[in-house]
Amino acid sequence: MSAPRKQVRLAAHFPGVNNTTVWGDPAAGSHIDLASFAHLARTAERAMFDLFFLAEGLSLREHAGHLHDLDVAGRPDAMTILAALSAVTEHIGLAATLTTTYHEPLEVARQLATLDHLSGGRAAWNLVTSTDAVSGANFRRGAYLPYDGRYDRAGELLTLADRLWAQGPGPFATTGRQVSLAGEWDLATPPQGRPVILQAGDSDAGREFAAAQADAVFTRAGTIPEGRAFFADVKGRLARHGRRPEDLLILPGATFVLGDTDEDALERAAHVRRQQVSGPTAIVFAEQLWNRDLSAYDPDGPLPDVDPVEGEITIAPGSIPARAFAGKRHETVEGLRAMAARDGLSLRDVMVQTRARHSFVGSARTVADLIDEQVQADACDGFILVPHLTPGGLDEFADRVVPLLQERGSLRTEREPGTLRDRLGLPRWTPGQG
Amino acid sequence: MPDRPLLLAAALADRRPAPDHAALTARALVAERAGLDLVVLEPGPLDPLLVAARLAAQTAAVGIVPVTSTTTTEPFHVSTALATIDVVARGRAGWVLAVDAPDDVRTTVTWDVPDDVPGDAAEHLEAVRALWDSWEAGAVIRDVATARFLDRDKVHHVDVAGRHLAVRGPSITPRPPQGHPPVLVRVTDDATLDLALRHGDALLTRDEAVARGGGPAATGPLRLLEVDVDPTDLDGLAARLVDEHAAGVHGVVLHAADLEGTLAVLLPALAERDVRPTAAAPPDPDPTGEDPPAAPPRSLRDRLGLPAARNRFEVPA
Repeated sequence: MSAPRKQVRLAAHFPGVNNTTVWGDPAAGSHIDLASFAHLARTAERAMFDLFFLAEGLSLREHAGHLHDLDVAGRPDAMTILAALSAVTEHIGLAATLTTTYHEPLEVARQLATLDHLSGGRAAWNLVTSTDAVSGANFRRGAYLPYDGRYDRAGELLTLADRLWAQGPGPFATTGRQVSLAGEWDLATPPQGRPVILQAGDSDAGREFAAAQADAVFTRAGTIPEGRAFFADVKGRLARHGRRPEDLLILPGATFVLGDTDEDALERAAHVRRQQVSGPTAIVFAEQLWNRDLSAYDPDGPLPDVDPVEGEITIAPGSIPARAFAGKRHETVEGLRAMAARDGLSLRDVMVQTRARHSFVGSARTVADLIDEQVQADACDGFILVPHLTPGGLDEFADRVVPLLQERGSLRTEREPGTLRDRLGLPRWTPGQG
Repeated sequence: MPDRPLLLAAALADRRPAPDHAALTARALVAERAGLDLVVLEPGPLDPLLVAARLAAQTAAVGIVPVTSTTTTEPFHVSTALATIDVVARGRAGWVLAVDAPDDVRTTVTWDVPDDVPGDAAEHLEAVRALWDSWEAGAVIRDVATARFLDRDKVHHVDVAGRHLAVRGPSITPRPPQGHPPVLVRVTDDATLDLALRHGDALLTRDEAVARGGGPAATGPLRLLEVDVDPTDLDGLAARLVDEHAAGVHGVVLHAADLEGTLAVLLPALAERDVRPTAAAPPDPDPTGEDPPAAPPRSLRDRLGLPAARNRFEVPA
């Protein structure tokens, strides 16, 4: 008898506050109402996904000294909306991103344990840290934490939470570099023992933290060789922490556009990509790269003829893409100029080409093949899918791709019993491990 | 006899280490079907904001009002959580603001808890309300022609800067359906009474003199009396509530182990004496969350007789 086929793990990411989310389409609905969250979570549940996933942002994005007004902005509080969703879903995991920098340790421990109790063992936490001073200005301590202190606080917070979840009611005290607290804990161990913990961040420190502490890694999608290298590196670190390769799942974020045929999907993707990069958005993207005001340029004209500016980020402080270009602005711009000249592209065309790529484009059959191929090749364990429309952006995937994955035995057709942790095949967590 | 009916609320609590949240839901539905105005979610091992959010999705009419301390929380998180509950409840959320004794909680948070916890609470509440105002009602425009989702002139930094805390804003969550969900201050001493009188939409007290509007409480917020229910003397309770209503109490928060049994005796007695009319049956909650009725439920502000919330950033036309 052959070994059971490796199972594809799927998560649904509620469309985020960035240009991937298309708000101007006639099918785009509310990003705030419970009905939108309930529809996407229930669609993912029906389609046998493991997780429903929410990002977090603790300040509105700013660009050129103003609130950024081109993308979807505003969202409900993640843990609060997940608690509401626990009432209208039965099986799917409920994952919230919470930064350890601007949430209190005991509040994080209590809220995650509460969600786990309310949902019958379905709580998950995407643990992130923050450096962003704009968010810090919304909190009591301001931007209090130096860069190097972020993982100290994250580690100490998680260690304390692990202890409280494991011990149940009773006194506690902890003294650390960032977290020194004492008191009386009053809540029973949550159904999963420990909520499922995801970690996002591809740095060496992030990978090591994941290998020691996390149940899953939320990473970037790439080619099969790139995925295999990341997969081997991160899973290779587990043995040092007394863990098995299957104890940590690798879940890249991925976008998709479906069509009746591959050609139809390409046409649809071209339309979606232009929705994702309007003329004004193309200018903003260019300003992140050039690091200077380009508002006088025409997005439908040629690339700006001025040089980019290295050094302090002035026009888009806090922007991750603006930071990512640092030190390679000139060579990046030269590359884009060559592309524009070769293919006769406008500024907006270039930004559509380089900033609005989709991970999977094709017919349902093609997309099912691409997903399964990555998982079976050990480039990852599954995907966190990011639809571009709220609330119906997953409907077609659920109706057309999921049955094909099920047909070939790569996706469950019935839900296993137990908690989220049980269904993901993750071991019950022993405190002190790692 | 006062011309407004007696407001009626039920406090829901389960302080056991492994709380029975299904039983909390069942009690909230008892309150809803009996036509009560609101349920108060007491602090306990389960986070009251999250329990409230779940109950908001499981009910269709009753006000959903969690108790949260200002002393141990960030106003930014409380503001967005309450706005979210108000979204889920479609305008039925409220907040019971409580203040902790500083020595009880000093070692439970990673900032320095000030001795002046009432002052901290006033600044916290100001920040919460400012964040609710930070998005004007028409801030989301979805203007395809100019590619703008947001009218950034209608979203504001709040720049609350107090002695104890500072918040820049704006909120990450748009203005809640009620604008400002009602803020009920739990009064435990003179400082919290002062806070309630200055800043609250309503106060909760166990002091009958305060609840009747004696002294400085004569004008100002609504006054709700907190009452522990003795199940062996429900007729006595009914008679007492009739008297308290006549004496000027606006409402009562019942702390009852057997809510259903209590209401079975109390509601007919109050209706018979014109203290509170019998309520019409509420609609059934939407079990999917996907398909709410077109018309939103009656807001909690409306139930409490509060005027529409003004937005500090909106210029009167």
